[in-house]
This record gives sequence, structure tokens and C-alpha cells, in this order.
Amino acid sequence: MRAVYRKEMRQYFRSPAGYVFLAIFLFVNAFYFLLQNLLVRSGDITDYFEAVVTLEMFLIPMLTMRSFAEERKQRTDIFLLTMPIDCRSVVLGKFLAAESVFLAGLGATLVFPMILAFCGSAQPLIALGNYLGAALLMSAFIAAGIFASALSENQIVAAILSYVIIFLLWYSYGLGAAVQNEALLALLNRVSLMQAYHGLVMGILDPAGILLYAVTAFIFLVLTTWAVQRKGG
Amino acid sequence: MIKATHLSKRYGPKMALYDVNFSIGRGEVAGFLGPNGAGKSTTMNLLCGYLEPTWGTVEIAGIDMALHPLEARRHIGYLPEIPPLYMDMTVAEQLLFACDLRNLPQRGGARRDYIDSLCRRTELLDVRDRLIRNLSKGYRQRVAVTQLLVGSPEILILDEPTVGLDPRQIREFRDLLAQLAQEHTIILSSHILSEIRSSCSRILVFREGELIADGEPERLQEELSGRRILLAEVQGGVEAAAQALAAIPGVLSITAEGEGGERRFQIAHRPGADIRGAVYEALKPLPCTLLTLRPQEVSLESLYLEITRRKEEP
Repeated sequence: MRAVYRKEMRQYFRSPAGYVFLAIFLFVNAFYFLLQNLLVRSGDITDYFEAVVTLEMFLIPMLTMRSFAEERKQRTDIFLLTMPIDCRSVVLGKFLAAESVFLAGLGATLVFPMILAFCGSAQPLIALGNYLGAALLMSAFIAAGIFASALSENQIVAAILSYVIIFLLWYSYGLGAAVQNEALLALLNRVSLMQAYHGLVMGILDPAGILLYAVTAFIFLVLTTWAVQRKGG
Repeated sequence: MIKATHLSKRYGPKMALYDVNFSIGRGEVAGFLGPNGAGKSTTMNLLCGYLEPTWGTVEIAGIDMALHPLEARRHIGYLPEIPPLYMDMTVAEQLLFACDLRNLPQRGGARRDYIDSLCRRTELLDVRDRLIRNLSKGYRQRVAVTQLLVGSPEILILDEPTVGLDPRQIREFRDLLAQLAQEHTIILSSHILSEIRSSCSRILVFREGELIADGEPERLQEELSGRRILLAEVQGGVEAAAQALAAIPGVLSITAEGEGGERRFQIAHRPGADIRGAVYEALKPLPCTLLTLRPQEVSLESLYLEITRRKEEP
């Protein structure tokens, strides 16, 4: 797994992909921090996080679309899958690499709550909830993006599939409301990533919400392993 | 070393491979021969564990690929038709990655020395720090072969390894293959007969997903044709000579060429019998002189063409 992780990290930063992602990510975050906090003189970091999260969702496929699609296009997947390495390790290595790039970007934004604290508005628990929420939510989306990448050898197709999956995951709660079925609504409410996120950004460290993100990421990683093996087999 | 038992692969409604059985021993160089779509690459993909068979089993060094894929893959180095290389890596990085995937224990300087020794062997030292995307096709192929050697797997499987190489590169590749054959069991595939024949001690011929012939090139010629040919040049008494030759036990047919008092007889006979002595004895009492007596090769090329033609015919 470490071998795949190292290779992925090298590829992110040897090509423009990693830099472009981080540049756009930091620009968007800085812009929203400026807009939601500095310009309106608000000390509540939740305003900034709630606004920026939907845009971050759209950046995730930039990070994940090449993951397996490029391997398949270059026919290097056959190399990985005929080496004495478990397919699960390949998937996990790729996931952790994408996760690391995202967390590097998210880590850089820690300067924003520090600025707010310096200005006299320190809310460490709220900030922790927001960062934890963003990290967990995006982990689930990264896993979904990697799964989408395993379904196609075309990066654009992989990105579009990622958007569809992410959109469905994020707005599933709304879908339940649209069909006006109470049982379905209750179920979707239970498994809604959006609902769980709102709990976290308010500083409520709900284990069920955290578990929901972990399970979502896990399911997509299992599906990715299945898709990669199935394409090979 | 490699054993395929009732190996079959189905893609949807199409059987890509049907009930293929063979075993390849340690140190053999076996060639998979057949036209495009005959099942060579599918068989290779099954042998290296990239594909799972619909039926049948693959054993590598006594290890069942389906039960212990990682253990079995440790013994195999696979080079598919398109070299699986990362264009944004240098040659050394690609080889180090292969070392990591094979979980080789050496680290740091020792690993670098190991990479250098591999590069030296395949004459890649000059380009070891260059990006693969900047290398020629011949060099890329060499990097892919070097990558195969990482961890020194006993079995090397090469799918159409000379496709796209120029004649000089093909010759270099064959030399390299001859070197590797001293230490590895090798399977290579091609639809070019001369390539298989020059490199392999054994040929497996595929057609429409079936293994239709398996053996040494010489034996295969006999097997595929079902006959051997003896060439006899005779001067004088050609009519009597023809009758006497036709009467020899084991002779299947006789064709004669030439004019006047000289004839060139092609005597087709069953394989496994040496009839040269009988020919000499048959012609001895006749008023003719035997000028030449030698076996004639039934060209493997013509047999191969016949096999592939059969596929194209409705």
C-alpha cells in the first residue's frame, strides 16, 4: 500500500493536478473566508464552512478522476493487478494519497480560525467540529470519486460520474422530501450526509454522524475494489 | 512450473478460450502462436492472474492461482502487449516502484545498486534518470523487460514483445531473450512464426480459442502435416523407379518432377519411420542411379498459413 501511496503522491505533484487542486482549493477557501468573516466582521467560522463546503464538493473529482481511469487508459492497471499486491492495498493507497492532498489543503486553512482567534473570536470546539465535518464529508466524497474513476478509462466521464454520485449523496435528503414518503424520508434523514454535516458544524460530535461518513467511505472503497477486480477479471 | 487445466474463458456469449490444457516445465521457452483473436493473450492474462477463468485452473509452481493469487504472482513477471509504464516516472523510479510492489527488502543504497545492476544488464544505465515519456519505443520496451526482472521471478510471460520494434531492436530483443532463457521459464506470444521459431523450444498453436497443437517445432511440423517427405533424385529407369518407390511399406504418395531421364521424387511417408534404407534397396536392382536422397522439411510457415486460412474460410 505504501508503494502505491508514494507513487500517487509523486504523480500528484509531478503533474499540475496536485498544484492546480491546491491552488483552486485555497483560493476558494480564502475568498469565502474573506466574504463570510473578514468583510462582514463575523467571528463565526461556521458561516464560512457552510458556504464553502458545496464548492469543495465540486473540487473533489478534480483530485480523484485520474485515479484508476488513467491507469486503465495507460494500461498500467494490468501491471498493478499482476504484481504480488492485494487489490485492496492498491485502492487504499490511492484513497489515502487523494485524502492527503485534500487534508494538506484543509490544513492550510487552519490559519483562518487562527486569524479569528487573534481578533478575539476563539471558538475551538466549533472550529474542531467544522474541520472534522469537512474532513469526514470529503473523505466520503473522495472514496466515491475513486469509485467513479474505477468505472471508466476516461477522466471526464469519471468526473461526471463523481459529480452525479456526490450530488445524490449530498442531496438525498431532499429527494426523500420530494417523494413525500415518510418511511423513506426517515431513512434518508438517517443516512443523509448533509444532515450529519450540519450536526458537526454546530459542534455536535455525534458518533452516529462520524460513523455514517466512515461507513460511506468504506462502502465506496469496497465497491472500488470490486470494480477494479471485475474490470480485470 | 505452469499448469493449465481445462482453462476456459467466456466474454458474454463468446467463448474466448475453450478447454485448454498444457503444462510448461522449468527452463522451457514456449511460444504461443496463432492469428489475432486466437486466444493467446487471454491465456496469458489467465496465467498471470489478471483475468479469472470461467472454468479451469492455473497452477504456478504448484500454487493454485485462484486460491493463492499473491503467492502465485510472486513467481511471474508479465509484459503485456502495451508496456505498462508510467510516462511521468524516470526509469529508476519505475524500477523502484516495481521493487516496492514486489516488497524487496533492500533499501537505500543497496536498492539503488540493484537497480543499476538490472539497468546494466539491459543496457539502460545511460537513461536511468530520464523520464519514460522521453524514451524511444525500443527503450521503453527495454524498461518494461527490466521491470519484469525485478525480484527475479522464475516465469516470464511476454505478450507480442516485439510489436512495433524496428528490425535492429527486434534482433537486440532476441539476444536479450536468449540470455534470459538461461535463467527463466519463458512464455512468449506472437502471430509471427519466424519470431516464435527463432526463440522457442516449444510451440503451442492456438486457433479460435482452442489449443490445436503443442510440441517442439520439428515434431509439430510432422504432427500438423501427418507426414514426412523424402526427396530422391534418380537418373535413368524412372518409370521402374517410381513403381518400386510406391511399393515401399509406409509410403503414402509419390510426386515426380523433371524431364528426360532424370526425375526428382517427393516421397511422402508416415512420420516415425526411416525409409531411406528401403529406398536404396528398392532402387539398387533397377537400371537407374540414385543421385540424391535427403529428407525435405514440410515448411512450418506453410502449415501455419494453412491453419490461419482455415479460420478465415467460412
